[in-house]
Amino acid sequence: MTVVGEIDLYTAPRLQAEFTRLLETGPDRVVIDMSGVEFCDSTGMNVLLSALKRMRERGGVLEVASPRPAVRKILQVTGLDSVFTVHDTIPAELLTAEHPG
Amino acid sequence: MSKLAQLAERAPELRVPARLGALDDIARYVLALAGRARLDGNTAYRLRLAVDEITTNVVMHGYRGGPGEIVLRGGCDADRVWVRIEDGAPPFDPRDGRLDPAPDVPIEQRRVGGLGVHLALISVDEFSYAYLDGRNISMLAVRTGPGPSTVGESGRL
Repeated sequence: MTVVGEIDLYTAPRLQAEFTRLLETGPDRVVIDMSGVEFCDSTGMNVLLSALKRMRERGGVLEVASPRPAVRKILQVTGLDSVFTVHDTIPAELLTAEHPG
Repeated sequence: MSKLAQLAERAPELRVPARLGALDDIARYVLALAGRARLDGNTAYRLRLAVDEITTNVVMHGYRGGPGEIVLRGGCDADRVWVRIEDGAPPFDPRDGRLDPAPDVPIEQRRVGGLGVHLALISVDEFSYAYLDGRNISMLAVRTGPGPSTVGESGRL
């Protein structure tokens, strides 16, 4: 899943809706590419945390990849970097899966 | 009246309804201010994040989704860039709603809501609040030069 732009109180409901739609497909692993997220506040973090809880309830995992330094710092200072697996880059196996051949 | 308060009276003003859609206007106002002050990217981000969190708090918890107005004034002086946020919601010091991170709490019990205030406070170098003439007034500032923070947070953003 790729998220771009800004996540705040105004845009968070759209992200929440996308998560809901994605989780209805029953994935056991979701990796969020956040390299295109230019701004994220606590509302955005709340959406991520909510999605993570729902994934765990069904035995799945939710991971974050490529956050920009400012977003990574917010993950750190809110203590959420300890509950999310944060990748510096998109895991290679996903790139292979998304771009076969 | 303090020097900062006097400056605030003459600063460019943004008046927006206390609605979610106004957050974009607020962000543009702060980023334009940061641009005029030639803040570096990280400092501009910190100021924007702090203003975003405080105004989000006003919309959600101050006016509780009801009608209202938020007034922003911002400017810069020799060593800081500041934004004054004013609203007519019931008196509320944002610091009273602060929730510090709780890394030892299981994820199922984690709350992020109050972390917005925490984020705001660690993002700026100065924060003050006053309730004057029926108005909540929060003053946020980031320093443009070296110097100790009056907020004194160890986890500076």
